Amino acid sequence: MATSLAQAPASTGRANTRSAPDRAAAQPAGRLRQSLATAAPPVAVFILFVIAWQVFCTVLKIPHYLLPKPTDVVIAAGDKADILATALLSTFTSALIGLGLAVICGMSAALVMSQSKLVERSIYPFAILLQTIPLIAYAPLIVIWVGAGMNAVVTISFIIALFPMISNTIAGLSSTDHNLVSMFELYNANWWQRMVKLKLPAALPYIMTGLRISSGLAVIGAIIGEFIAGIGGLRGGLGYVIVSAANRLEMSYLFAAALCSSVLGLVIFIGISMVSARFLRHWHESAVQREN
Amino acid sequence: MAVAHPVPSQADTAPALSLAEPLISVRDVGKTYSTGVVALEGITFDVRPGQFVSLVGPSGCGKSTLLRIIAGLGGISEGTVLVEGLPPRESRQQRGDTGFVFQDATLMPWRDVVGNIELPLELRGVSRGERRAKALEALQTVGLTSFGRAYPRELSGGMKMRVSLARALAAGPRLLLMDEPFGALDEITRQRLNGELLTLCALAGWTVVFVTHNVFEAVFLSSRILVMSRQPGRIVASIDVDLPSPRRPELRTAAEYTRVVGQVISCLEDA
Repeated sequence: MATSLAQAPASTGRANTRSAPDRAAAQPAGRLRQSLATAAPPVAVFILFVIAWQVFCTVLKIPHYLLPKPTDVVIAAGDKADILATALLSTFTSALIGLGLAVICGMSAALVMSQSKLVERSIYPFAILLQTIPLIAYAPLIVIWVGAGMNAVVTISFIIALFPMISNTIAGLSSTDHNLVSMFELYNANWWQRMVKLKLPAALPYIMTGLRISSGLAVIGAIIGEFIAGIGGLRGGLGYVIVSAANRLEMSYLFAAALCSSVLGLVIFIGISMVSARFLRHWHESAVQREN
Repeated sequence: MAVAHPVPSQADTAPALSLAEPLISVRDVGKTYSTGVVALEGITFDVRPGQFVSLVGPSGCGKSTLLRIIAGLGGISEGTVLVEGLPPRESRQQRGDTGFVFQDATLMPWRDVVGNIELPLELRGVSRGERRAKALEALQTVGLTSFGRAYPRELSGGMKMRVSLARALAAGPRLLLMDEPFGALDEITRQRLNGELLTLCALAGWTVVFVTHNVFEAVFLSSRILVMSRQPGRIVASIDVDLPSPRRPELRTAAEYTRVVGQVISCLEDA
């Protein structure tokens, strides 16, 4: 590669530029094989685990109300597929709204706190305090304040998902490279430019980590919310399904519902990982694909 | 070569500047930290347009602090500093004539090379097309034309420093402040970049204040060397380097070069 002044190539701009995505897109077959290679080990472990479970229950004749066989769970899931699908969608909606609110409020709060050390020192302890109060203690209050049903479910999901967004965004905003801050000052950047072009992009890896933690918590929050404050019937969500199945000792159904909630968490997690990879793929170590 | 001013000239708000006047004027500057440590004491010197002045001294002698003061990034306890006839901060804000190159290349990892070079122009509100053209031109000058779409992590240390120089070039400053820019590079890359820097200076008409602890580098680059002592930081000698210009790599083995290096080293030892 020509690197000295004297050898400067005469071509300009885009003509012979190179970038990571172009190179990756050039070999779709290779990429497919790579994703298969990544997915194969956990899938194999999963299949082995299910087989072992099935054999264990069959050989030891474990009663289905103690531990249902995987086949029982699949049959139960098939029987009540429409109820589970409705519940899944309901929980998914609540969790997503809760997560969205947590992202907006968490980042805004962090942005405000990052403006001055004094403000951060004054407010942050209370954010931590809020975090340490057990949900059981204030869940009844929330039901009284916002009413039972989806309002309460979304609120609980939001509160549980909020803290990681605040703490990670604050950590990200305060970890900007010192020399870059000086450089922005040297080139007379105003507050808005400093925020949008420097602080927020620099904080993005942290924010994405927070988002990944919060997404899992939002699903857990929604299900716990439905447990505590959910209304019955079809719109009760997975939490209500789990409660009613447990009350009636329908263990296969309970397992099916639990499986649905973990699938839900997984789907949200994968979605966020994809968004994160999209934003960070060029520059952050966590998302960069190394060629060894 | 005159460097085009990307911002509308605001000369009417600031005193007129003649060529004979110093670009930077530092008078009796002292800086004492709140802990009582005296970082700088009685610093006085001028930098005239087109000069290449190096600040040489041991670590902790306050040379970087002094550079940051000239950039308007740090305050002083006594004395006066004028850049183009104004206090550093005002000068920077009104004229936008000051560029700075740090020891690490200080690139934004989330932007590609062109995006990084465009930044100073972007902050100034230059239109997209114009800043792209300027960035590509600067990129060509430093010999990295084919790397416009690369990201900083894909570049070597020397290439990153070239991008950093291209950014300063695109911003079009009159005054370039450099804080040990080549300190982290290997010797061969450093020597090559020294040569390229001088070419760029001639091309862009920069006036440079250059901080380094490398005496050989300072002698090769400078028209004047200010030797500093530590605790408190003082200027103990001002050495005019009257070596032939343009400086060629062969100069590094010439007797006159070695003589000046010896002179600077003896000043440092006395300090």
